Amino acid sequence: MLIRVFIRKLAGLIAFLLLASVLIFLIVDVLPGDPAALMLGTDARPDTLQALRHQLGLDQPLVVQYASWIIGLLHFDFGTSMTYATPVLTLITERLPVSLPLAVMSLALTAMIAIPLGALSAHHHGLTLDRVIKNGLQLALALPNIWLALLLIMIFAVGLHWLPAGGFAGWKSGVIAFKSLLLPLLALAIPQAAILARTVRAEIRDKAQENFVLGARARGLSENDILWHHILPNAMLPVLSVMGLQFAFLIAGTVIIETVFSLPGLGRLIFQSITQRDLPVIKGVAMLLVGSVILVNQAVDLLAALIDPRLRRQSGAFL
Amino acid sequence: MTHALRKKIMGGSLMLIFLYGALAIAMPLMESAYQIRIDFRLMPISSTHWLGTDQFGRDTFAMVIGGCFASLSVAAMAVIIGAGIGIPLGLIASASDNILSRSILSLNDFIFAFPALVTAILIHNIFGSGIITAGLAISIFNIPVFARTLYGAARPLWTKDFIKAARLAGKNTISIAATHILPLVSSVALAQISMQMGLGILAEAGLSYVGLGVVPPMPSWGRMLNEAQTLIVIAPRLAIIPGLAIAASVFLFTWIGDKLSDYADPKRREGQDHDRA
Repeated sequence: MLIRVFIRKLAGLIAFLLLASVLIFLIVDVLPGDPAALMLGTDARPDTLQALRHQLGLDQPLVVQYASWIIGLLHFDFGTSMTYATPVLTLITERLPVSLPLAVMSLALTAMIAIPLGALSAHHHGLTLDRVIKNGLQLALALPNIWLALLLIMIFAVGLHWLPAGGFAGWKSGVIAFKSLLLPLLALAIPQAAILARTVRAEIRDKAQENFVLGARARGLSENDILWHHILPNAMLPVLSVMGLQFAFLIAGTVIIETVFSLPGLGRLIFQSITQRDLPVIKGVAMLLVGSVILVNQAVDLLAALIDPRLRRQSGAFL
Repeated sequence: MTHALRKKIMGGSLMLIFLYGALAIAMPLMESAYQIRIDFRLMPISSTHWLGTDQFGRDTFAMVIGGCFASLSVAAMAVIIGAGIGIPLGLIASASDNILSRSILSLNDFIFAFPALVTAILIHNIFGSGIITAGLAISIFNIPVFARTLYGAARPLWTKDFIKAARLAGKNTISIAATHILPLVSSVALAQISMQMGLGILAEAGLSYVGLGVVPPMPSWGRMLNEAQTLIVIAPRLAIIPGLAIAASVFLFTWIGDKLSDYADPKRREGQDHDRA
């Protein structure tokens, strides 16, 4: 059974990645008309246009263009940037050491804030503490992460001078590197943690009504024991799938928050390439972002099936 | 909280939403107030400029009011398209367990991999920056959100006796979905609409901040945050005010969405859940 789930998720991964690549190719290369004219602007000379078309392979049939792009991707060849004249993959890998830790650490921080807070709130449900947490979460949920970032800069960088307001000196700088990522991490994680904590709270409240909790209580286990060892593990599965969905938000959020803090990550690369109309970079980064969301979500599904055998039976979606 | 009080709060918040709508419509009237007047730059809060002016001499209060239009129209467009496509898809998928419904659910999972920002980056080449790009990008992400919520709410209903009766009476799936299922899940749909309005306002602010959303001279809260950033030391109010506007409107919509979903699911109503112990 488990191996079948694995094969299905793998097939889903491949199918979704292929579909995403076709869509990205169509939207970026085909729908706008002539990418060469788009990149060079309206007053380009016809012979330069022709030369660029040839360089980009635009004089070939669409199927050939797509095939050469996708075969390149399979060889980790994302094409060459027009503005930097360097391979897109190099540009991406230079920026990943900022963006990847930021995305992964913000997801981890989200869970680290949300799970205890949600559990605490559910444990004290109906009491003042629960109400305070619940209303706090409702407020935090509505905070735009950009604004939160600016407020954090005002307080901790401009006001208290504890942390840098932006920039990144590279991981070699050690503690300074961590310090410059701290505010971006908080700005990303706090609103998402509010969403996740609400899920944690609701799931714990839901699972607390189940018979196994009654059974544990009848056996004389302490309420703390029941919460941490019986309810929480059972409530984690839906929490996991919400986290999978949040990863997409955090990826997008990372790109935006990086520009707020002028971090040299994928955010800066992609917004530069939008203004420069550097289509190979746009395609490459979009494929990377979408691909990583697909990968994480298929992995979460697989993990869920691994934890809960009931989820191994096929139902709902194909893949 | 008593039922009557809850009703009053609901009524009050609906009125606030109408107020937002009215402010959005008032945007063109304010146009003279947010024209660039360098001689009025960075004026403090006063009786003529209620919230002061920015580095271009534009009245901040007028900009905040004007920003309602961009955020509400983008969020509303995203909800209309997202719900318009997502709700029927979710209902159709919930009706049976066949190739069609599984394809819809698989497609849902797929679209979830395209956050609004990525879609906006991709379609920016076609539509440029503006309400259309931002609205479409958020709409696309809204489709699976609505489809999944409605699927979940409608799925258990199809095995009910009155649905079987409707089938025996010769009604087809689509007409059952429209006349029997939809009314029963309408409060779930309404709650999700309110929620997505709030999240749409958030997303619009993010897109406008990075320059993929509304373009000047149309005022936008996200852009205001962007323009305020360099002045964070001399004029922090320019960053605080638009953020407050975003947070307040998002809070309004998500709070109403929450209350509506409590209403839709009696189990979740606070004070009514009792432990078995």
